[in-house]
Amino acid sequence: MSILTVKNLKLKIGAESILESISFRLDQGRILAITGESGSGKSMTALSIIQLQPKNAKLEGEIFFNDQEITKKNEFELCKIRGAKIGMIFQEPMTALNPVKTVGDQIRETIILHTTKNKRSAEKETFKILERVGLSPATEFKKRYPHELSGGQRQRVVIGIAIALKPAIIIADEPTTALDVTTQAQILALLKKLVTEDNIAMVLITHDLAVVADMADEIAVMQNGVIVEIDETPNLFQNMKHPYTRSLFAASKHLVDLPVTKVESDALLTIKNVTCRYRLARTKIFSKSDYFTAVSNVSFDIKNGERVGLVGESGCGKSTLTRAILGLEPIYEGEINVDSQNILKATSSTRKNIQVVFQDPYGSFNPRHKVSTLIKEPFYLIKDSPESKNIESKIDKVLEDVGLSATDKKKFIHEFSGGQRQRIAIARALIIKPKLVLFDEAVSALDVTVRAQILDLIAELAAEYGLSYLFISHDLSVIRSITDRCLVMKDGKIIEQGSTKKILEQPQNAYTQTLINAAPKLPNFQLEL
Amino acid sequence: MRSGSLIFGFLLSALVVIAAGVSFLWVPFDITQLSIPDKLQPPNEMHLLGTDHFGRDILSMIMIGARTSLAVALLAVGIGVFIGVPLGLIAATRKNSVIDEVIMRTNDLIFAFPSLVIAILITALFGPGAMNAIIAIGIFNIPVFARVSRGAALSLWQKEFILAARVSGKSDLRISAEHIFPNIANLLIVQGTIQFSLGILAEAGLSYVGLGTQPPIPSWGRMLADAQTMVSFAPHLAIIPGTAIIITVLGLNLLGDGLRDFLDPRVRKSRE
Repeated sequence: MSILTVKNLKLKIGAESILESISFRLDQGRILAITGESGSGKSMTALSIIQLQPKNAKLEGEIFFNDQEITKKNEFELCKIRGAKIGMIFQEPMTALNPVKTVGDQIRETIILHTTKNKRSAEKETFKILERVGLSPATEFKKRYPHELSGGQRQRVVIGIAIALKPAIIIADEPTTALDVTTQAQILALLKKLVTEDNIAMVLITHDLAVVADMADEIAVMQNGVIVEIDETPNLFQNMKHPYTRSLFAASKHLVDLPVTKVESDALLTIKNVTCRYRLARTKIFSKSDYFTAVSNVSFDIKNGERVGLVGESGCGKSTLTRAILGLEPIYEGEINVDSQNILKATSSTRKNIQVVFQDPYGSFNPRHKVSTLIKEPFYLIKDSPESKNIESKIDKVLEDVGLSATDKKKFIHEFSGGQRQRIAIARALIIKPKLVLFDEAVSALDVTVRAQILDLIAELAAEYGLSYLFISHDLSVIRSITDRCLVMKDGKIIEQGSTKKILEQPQNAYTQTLINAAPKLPNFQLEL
Repeated sequence: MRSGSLIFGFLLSALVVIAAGVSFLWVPFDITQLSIPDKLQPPNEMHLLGTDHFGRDILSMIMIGARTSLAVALLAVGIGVFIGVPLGLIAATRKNSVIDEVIMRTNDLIFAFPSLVIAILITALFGPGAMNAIIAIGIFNIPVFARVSRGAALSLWQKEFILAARVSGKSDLRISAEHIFPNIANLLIVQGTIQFSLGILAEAGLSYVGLGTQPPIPSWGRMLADAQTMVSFAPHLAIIPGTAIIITVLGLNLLGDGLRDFLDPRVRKSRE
C-alpha cells in the first residue's frame, strides 16, 4: 500500500484551471520529483497535498495519506497531520525560520507542540536532530539565531524541523534553489541520507532537471497543470515519450553555437590590482571602523571580441567587481581602464562603450515608463552627438533585433513576461552600440527553455554587434555554453583563469575542482529529436 | 470594499471643498452683521444650523471657516512637501554622509519639539494670525515628508533600474527627479492627505488657544473655543463645528486610504 496516493486531483481558481487530473502514488523510502517550468503547477500540487492551497481555490479529486482521505478532513484534523505526519521544506530558509528565536528553541517547540514529550526529553531530541542534520557541535549550534547561520546551515535547521517528528512524508519545495552549488550538493546528500535512514517518502519539487536526475527514484514532468509524463528515473531519461520532456531536457543540455570571432590584440578593458572595500558598521560609537574587502587585488584584461565568464558563489565579490567596472563603486586601490581611460574619470563618449544587463527581469525597469522611454535611456550619454539622431528608428531596429516587435515600444513593462523583459534589457544595453556588455547573472532568473533562447540571442547579437562581453554567473553550465575564457573568483580573488574548456575539464585549483564536482549533472543520454 | 472607502472619502471631502468654494460667492447671511435679538437660536428653518451668541448664522460661519481650514492645511502641506521631499531625496542620494546626518538630525530635533511651543514662539515673535499658523504647522510637516521620502528613496536606490540609469551617466539629481520621485509619488499623496487632516486639526487647535486665525474671520477652532462657556445651554455651538472637523478629517483619511490602494499598480491590477 502506498503511503501517498493522489487520484485525479483538479484545482481551479475562479474560472482558471490550475491543475488537471493529477494522479500519482508514492511509496515509503522513495523520492518522487515533480519538475517543470514556472507556472506549471508543481508548487500548487505540493500545497494541495497538505491542504494548504489558496482559500479561493476549488479542489476536486482524492488524496489518500495511508488509508485516510484527507481532502474531507477539517482544519483541526489536518493540523495534526501537517508537521507531524507530513513535513515541509521551503525554498527560502531565512523566511521559514523565526528570526527572534534560537534554532534549538524552534526545533524543541515543534517537538513539544506535537508530542507528549516533556521539556527535558525534547531537549535531548533537539540535540540528536541537530547532530543528524550535520550541525555539530549541537551544544554550540542550538544557541544560535537564524541570522548567525549561513544559508546552507539554515536550510539544515529547516530540514531538522521537518524531520523532528519522524514524518512519513516530506515535501521539499525547491529546497536548494536559493543555495550555492557546493552547499546544494551537501544539502541534497543530507536529504537523500535521511530518506534512506528514516524510510521517508519524499516529494521533491524542483525546476532543475540535473538535481532531479541525481536524486529521484521517479520523476513527474508537469506542464500547464498537467503531468505530461511520469516514470522511473532511468526509464524516463532513456525513452522520453512526451515532446515537452524532450524539449526541457534539450534546453537544460543546450550548448550555444558560438560564432567564431576575431579577438584583437588591444585590450578593451584592463583591470589592474583592483581592491574594493566597504566600511562595516561601527560596533561602538567612537570606535574605529572595520573594513570588509570585497574585491582584493584583482587584475585581468578583456580584449576586443573576447567572450569572458566570471564564476563564483554568492559573496565572492563578483557583484562588487561588476559595479566597479561600471564606475559605480569607489575603488580603494588599483585602476580600471576602458579604452585606456580610467572609468572613474571617463568622459561619456568612453562610458558609452560599456553597458550592463542585470539579473532581475522585474527590478530592472522603472514600472512607470513605457518601453521606448526605458530603452532609450543610454542615449543620455551621447545626447549631443550625431549618433543620437533618429532615436525612434533605432528603437524599432533594436527591438526587432532582440526578437520583439517595434509596436512593443508603446507598452508598459508589466505587460511582458520574464524572458521578454530580459530581451528588453538586452535592447537597452545594445541601443547605443557599446563595445563591452556585462551580463550580471542575466539568465539566472529564467526557466530553462527561455534561458536557452536568451543565451542563443546573446551569442548571435554579440557577433552581429561586434561585442565583447563579461558574463557573470554562478552557473557553470551557462558559462560553459557562452564563453571562450573564464575566471573563477573566491573570497574577492581571482583564483584561476584560462580557456573555459580547459578550466571545466582540467581544473587546477582545488576550489574550482570542488565547484565543478558539486554541480549536479544530467545523465548522458543521447537525445533523438 | 476598498473603492467604497475611496468614494465615501471623496464625497465627504468634496462636500467640504464645495462649501468652501460656494462661500466665496454666496453665504446665507452676512456674518459681519451682528444681530443680538437672534442670538443662540437652535437650528430652525431660517438658520439651518442655528445662531451664535452674536446672532450670526452658524451655517455661514462654517462655510467661511471651511475656507480658512482648507487654506491653512493646504499651504502647510505645501511647505512640508516643497521643502521636506527634496531634503529627503538629497539625504537618500548621500546616505550616511555628513549632509544626510545634518538633514536627518535636524529633522529629529524639530520632531522632538512640542509643536505648540514652536507655534507660541512664532506667534510671540510675529504676532498671531493665519499666516503664522500656516508657517508653524508647515514647519512640522517638513520632517514628516523628509523621512517618508528618504526611506522610500533608499529602498529604490537599491533597485537595478536605478543602477541602469547610473550606467547611462545620469546624475543623482536627475535620477531622483526622473526615477525616484515618480515612484514615491503615491506614497507622498497618501502622506499628504494624512498631514492635510492633521493640519486642519492643528489649525483648529491653534485657533482654539487664540494663536490662529483672528476675528472677524471665522475658524472652526475658534468657534469651538467660543462655544466653551455656553455649551451647557447651547450645545449646538460646539457640536456643529466639531462635526465639521470630524467630517473633514474622516473624509480626508478615507480618501488617502482609498487613493493608496487605487494608485498602487499591484492592487489595481489584482482588482481588474
